[in-house]
Amino acid sequence: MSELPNPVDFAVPAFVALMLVEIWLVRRRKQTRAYSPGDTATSLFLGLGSTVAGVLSAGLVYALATWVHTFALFDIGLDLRSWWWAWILCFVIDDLAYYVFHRSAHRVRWFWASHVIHHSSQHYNLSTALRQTWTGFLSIAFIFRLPLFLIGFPPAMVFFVAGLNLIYQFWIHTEAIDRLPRWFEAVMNTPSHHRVHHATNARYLDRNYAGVFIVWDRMFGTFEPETEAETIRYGLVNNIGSFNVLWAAVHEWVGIVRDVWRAPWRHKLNYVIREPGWSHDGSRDTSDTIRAAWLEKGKQ
Amino acid sequence: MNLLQIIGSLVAVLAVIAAVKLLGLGRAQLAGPSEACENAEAMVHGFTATDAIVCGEGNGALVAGDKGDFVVLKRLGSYYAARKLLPPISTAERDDTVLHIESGDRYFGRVNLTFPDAASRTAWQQRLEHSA
Repeated sequence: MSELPNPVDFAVPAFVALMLVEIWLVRRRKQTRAYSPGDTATSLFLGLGSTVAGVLSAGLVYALATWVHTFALFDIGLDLRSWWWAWILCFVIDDLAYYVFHRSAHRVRWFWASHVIHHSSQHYNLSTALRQTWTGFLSIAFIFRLPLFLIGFPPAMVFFVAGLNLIYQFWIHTEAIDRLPRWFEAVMNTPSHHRVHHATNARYLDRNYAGVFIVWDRMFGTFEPETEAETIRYGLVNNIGSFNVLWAAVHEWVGIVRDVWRAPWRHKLNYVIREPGWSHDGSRDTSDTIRAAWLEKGKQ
Repeated sequence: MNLLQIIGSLVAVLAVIAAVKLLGLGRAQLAGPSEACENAEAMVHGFTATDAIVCGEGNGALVAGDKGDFVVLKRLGSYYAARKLLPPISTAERDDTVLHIESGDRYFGRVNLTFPDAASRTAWQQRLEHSA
């Protein structure tokens, strides 16, 4: 497969060490609600399962990437000394691809069914970062990276920078860090920006999709700053209310199957491709309807 | 990823969970009816709470709404999960003070609420059974 190692494998010991530091810190600060054993177990077993699922599908994804790369527009090499600028460019374009994927993952139910796992905790700590999908391959989320192979970035380079992107996103899943220097908050994704992304408060729904660079949200109108005026509630609009690992991994897929089965023929596809919460009779809430109701309430 | 890495990860996972447990993290308790109402309104869109009863030393609550509807709260780790109860609401008393309520959601499950006394359990059970 790839001629480069997966950087995430090397980061795992640091993930564990940082979680232990955060646990010690919240205990010291008496923030006893920050972690709970059941939630942590669910997050970490979902993370472990996600790694196994990723290994099982990696060969197929890599083969597909290699095939798409045969149609590349440019011939870009891997050697860091000759192609250092390509590595930087690849990292930035991959982060843009991540933004597009992530936005779609919140706006198209098919992609959401896989991504919802990451948002299914009502807690927000470093273990939440590891609460990752088991069904990424099924959701065909890898299609968002295909343009990079068509440009000419070698698959090994793309998967390596994607690993770095994932590692960056680990540390922003914490309440232990408040705000960082203004210049950093302006350009980079930070714990403050990402807390907004995980919030279910109406003002924060479907905001801050960035992976590494928050500039994408600022550019495409999806940025929302964190405000001290409102306590953040994490999780889902309709929380699953269970620590069952398997249910957390598949509940939205089950929901899609149920809805498609019950829906009239002309609405079946919409239960797959429309935004989460969409229903043909308007009986459910989407993030748009919740936000609209909140704005309306604010006017009164 | 090889077998050794999977075993190592599993050991690390268990160590982190043990640390959380040993340090006594993850405790939560509803302070009173107003906190229960606030939770229910925040978690169930369009629900306006009128009154609530906190059960089981803050582990759960039953919240009544202005449309004759009800929301049940149960503790999940450090926070609370909510379900709006759809009529007909199925309840069963286990003893004088404990009431089983079917949430209607298989994975959310049945919620067992321990009321402060038999009179409050009876009163709330009657309200649930006559809900809109």
